[in-house]
Amino acid sequence: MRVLIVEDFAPLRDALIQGLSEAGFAVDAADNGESGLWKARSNEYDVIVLDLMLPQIDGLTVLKTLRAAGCPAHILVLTAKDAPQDRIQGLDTGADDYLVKPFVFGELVARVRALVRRKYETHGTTIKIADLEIDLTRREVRRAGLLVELSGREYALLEYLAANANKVVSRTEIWQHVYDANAALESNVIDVFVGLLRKKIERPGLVRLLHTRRGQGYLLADRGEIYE
Amino acid sequence: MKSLRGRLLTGTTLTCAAVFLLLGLALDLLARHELLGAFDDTLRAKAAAIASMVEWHGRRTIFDQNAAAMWEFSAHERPEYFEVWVAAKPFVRSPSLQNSDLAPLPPKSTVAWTTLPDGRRGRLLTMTFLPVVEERPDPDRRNPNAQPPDPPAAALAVAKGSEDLDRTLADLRWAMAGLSAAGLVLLAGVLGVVIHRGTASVGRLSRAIAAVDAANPATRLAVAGLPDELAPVVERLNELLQRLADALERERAFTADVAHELRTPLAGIRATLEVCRTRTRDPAAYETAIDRTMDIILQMQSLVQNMLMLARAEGGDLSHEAALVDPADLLKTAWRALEDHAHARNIHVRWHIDDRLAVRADEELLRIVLRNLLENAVTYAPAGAAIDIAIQHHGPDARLAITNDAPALSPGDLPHLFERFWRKDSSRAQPALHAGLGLSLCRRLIHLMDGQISAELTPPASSEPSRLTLALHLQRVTIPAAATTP
Repeated sequence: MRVLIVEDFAPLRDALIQGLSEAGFAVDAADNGESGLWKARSNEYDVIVLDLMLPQIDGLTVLKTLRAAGCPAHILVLTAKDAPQDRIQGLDTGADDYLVKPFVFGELVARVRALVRRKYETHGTTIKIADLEIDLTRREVRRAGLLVELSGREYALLEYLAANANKVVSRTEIWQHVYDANAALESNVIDVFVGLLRKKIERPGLVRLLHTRRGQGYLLADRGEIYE
Repeated sequence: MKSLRGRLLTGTTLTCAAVFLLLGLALDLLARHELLGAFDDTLRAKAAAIASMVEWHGRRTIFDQNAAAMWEFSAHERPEYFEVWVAAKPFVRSPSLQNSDLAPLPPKSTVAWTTLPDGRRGRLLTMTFLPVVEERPDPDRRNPNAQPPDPPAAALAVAKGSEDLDRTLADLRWAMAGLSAAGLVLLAGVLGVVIHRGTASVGRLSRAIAAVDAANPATRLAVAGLPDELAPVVERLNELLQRLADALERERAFTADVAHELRTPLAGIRATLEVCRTRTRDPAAYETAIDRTMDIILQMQSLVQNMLMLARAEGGDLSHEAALVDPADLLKTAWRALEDHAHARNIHVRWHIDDRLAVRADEELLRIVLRNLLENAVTYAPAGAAIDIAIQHHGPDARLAITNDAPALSPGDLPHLFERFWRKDSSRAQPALHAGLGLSLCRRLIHLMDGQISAELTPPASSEPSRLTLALHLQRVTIPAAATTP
């Protein structure tokens, strides 16, 4: 899942980038309101972590502009303003969540995960498709009860496919939600990762879950076919 | 402290008592004088009546007693007395006297207090008179031309017991004393009520003052309904409350600002360390985390130092000592500390130092001021800009000016630059400005050193952005010739 951080205090921004990346998110960052707004409009972020006191364009204006433009990202306001009227104003302007600085980093990650769950309407913390189980909090994958070891990228890919289970997901969408702006993408990199993921989760004799739709993309679903 | 009510009541009652006493004494004297006058008049009338009964019949004197008018002289109880002398010999006595004299032969007419023969107190009136000539004697045949003898000189004393008078006077005194006492009691009661009513507002005021919340002195005491004497006191109190509320509000705003200013760096430290600890890392990663944390801590330390310095400067317990200081030296030292930071933002400095001059200032305070001004310039000038630093003569002063590009500032912002934690309204699509404490502290310190600090904005020219100049004026000192040679 892809996250944008808009924060002008560099040390905090760096820590957020590192922490959220390590928590499995594809992370982009902006250090002022203007570039934050530009990035938010040119990419499909799942969650935007937005500071309010920003140079050039302040956070509330960014929030308002994004909501007016129909931005589908869930937005978490992260600010030093802790007065109840500030929280009310933030939420009423269109924020989905509000966290006051200083905060526990684990809580921020949990809230970002919760926003992702809400976005994809996966209310539980696990996704089950046939005998495939994904624990979204512990980032663990089991197939037929056996733990499957996945790399960070593979997990991110599976998580996105699972969040969109039973829907065909295009390569562009995968690109937008699984990789950050710094990832150097070869045209076939997604096919390569899907291939790697398929090798790890599919077993002969079990139900086939990861389907390829030529010219359209990929689909994670139980179609009753047996993988050979 | 004594009760105001008690003092008012006691004072007024005692004064009234004294007035009543004096009035009573005057009234008593007057009544006594009047009653005694009337008593004596009666006595005189009685004496005249008795005198009219002494008749001269040519050769002898006759007492022509009118018994009906004389009954009081023979009464058994509280009789009156009289005695008449004719030709210096007792002539007639009232029956009440029996055979004793009422008084020695009186030489003249008087009226005086006396003790009556039966021991009572009374008034004694004496007078001399000539008996009434009732008939002329027949002319003397032997000497028809001789004048008939004149009636002999007579004297008279009348005395009467004064118990009626004394009783009336005593009754009058008692009545006056009783009335005065009753009046005093009534007066004290009425006064008590009046004073209580009058001073009840003091009690109400005291309760209202006691109810003022120290943490929220926004309450105002009601002036309406207070006596004129108390209203100004309450108005002054309300002004004091207003000043307290203002000061408290400033403190609250400052505390909120400080909390806000410290939250973001704290969040930075916390996030850096928490992220670092989520897994085992190689030593270089720990070092990076430590370096980042250290950077944030240095920023916070600078903020806290400025805050403390400002608090001490405002509290008046910042010691400073004027000495000869070379501002060029201080500026260059301050700039060296910032060079790395400036270099990272591609900011360079242009020096404009006319000639060497010295100012009278506290070296340590001036160092802090210059460091803050340069830090501001380096932080808020756009990347790649130039900072101009100038030191010039300016009348009796030295002018130290630091100028940098400030495209986001408008003239209306200038007065706010020196406010604590001022932020330019960032909702307008312009770079947000954030004053922090630096300039506020600079102004305090420069004023402590009897200098001036001002902000000027050069409006943007064709291709140039507007430029902000922060100028210090400090007392210039002519450097002795020896000091100018290196």
